[in-house]
Amino acid sequence: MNKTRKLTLLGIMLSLMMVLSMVERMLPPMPFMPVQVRLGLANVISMYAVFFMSYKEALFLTVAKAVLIMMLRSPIAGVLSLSGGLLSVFVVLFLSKTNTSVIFISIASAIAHNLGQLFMTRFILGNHMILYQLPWLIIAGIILGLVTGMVLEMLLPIFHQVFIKNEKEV
Amino acid sequence: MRNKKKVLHMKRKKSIGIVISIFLLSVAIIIALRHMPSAKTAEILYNGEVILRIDLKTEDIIIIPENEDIIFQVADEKIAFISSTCPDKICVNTGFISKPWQTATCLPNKMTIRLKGNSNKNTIDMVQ
Repeated sequence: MNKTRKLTLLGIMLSLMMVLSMVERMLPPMPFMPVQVRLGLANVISMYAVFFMSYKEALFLTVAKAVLIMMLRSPIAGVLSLSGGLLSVFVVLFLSKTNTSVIFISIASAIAHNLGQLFMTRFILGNHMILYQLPWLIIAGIILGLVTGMVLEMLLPIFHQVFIKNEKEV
Repeated sequence: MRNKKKVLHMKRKKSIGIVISIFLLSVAIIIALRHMPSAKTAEILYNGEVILRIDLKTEDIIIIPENEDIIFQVADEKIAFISSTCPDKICVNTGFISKPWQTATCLPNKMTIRLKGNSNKNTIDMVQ
């Protein structure tokens, strides 16, 4: 894949992640869960980058998304996105080398994302009470990670077609 | 990627077992947390320092001098942010809290509500 094509592709993937992230936030908060828990659909694209591109693309997407969020929402939101996203991407990168299923990786990355954000929030707040949200965040990570993993598996052929196969290289 | 056999390998079962155990453990912790007795006093923190202690038995609407645009309400032995200037409104959406392990925070405004179980204070104090 030549450089221009890769650059364009990453731009498209990044925009997809941002749009998914923004649309998710417009939905009402999930009942019984801490307020900031969302569907995490951007993770679908991030995981795809880890599995079918390389760690460089995945890291770029994660960091670029955090920078955009920092500019579009607030610096705190950007830092939280970075901490959750980086931990999540590292978990996916690590687990993708082992022989675990996509769904398990998806669940692990969702939990990792929540934990990354939780610990960063604790660090920013300076008091430990927020850590009591841990059990809810783990449950949310399991359920939503399952959903995200299933979405990724369903969309895999479409992603392959659109992102990777549609080239006409000379 | 990797082959998509439908055979349930031992590793797959182990993964499912781990996930289910963690799930059940979390549910158990949540049930235990929900059964804790409700808190008796609340503390409002600004920048990590306690600036106000409130007895939850009162019914009150509270505005504090450090930031006059944020409004708290105490009702039914619970407390909540009911108005805030932050863009995300996470604090307001948290709703009413009453258990000692619960918190509500407005990150941009650096305000946090913390709850405590003992009932030594029975009036509103200003703590400097």
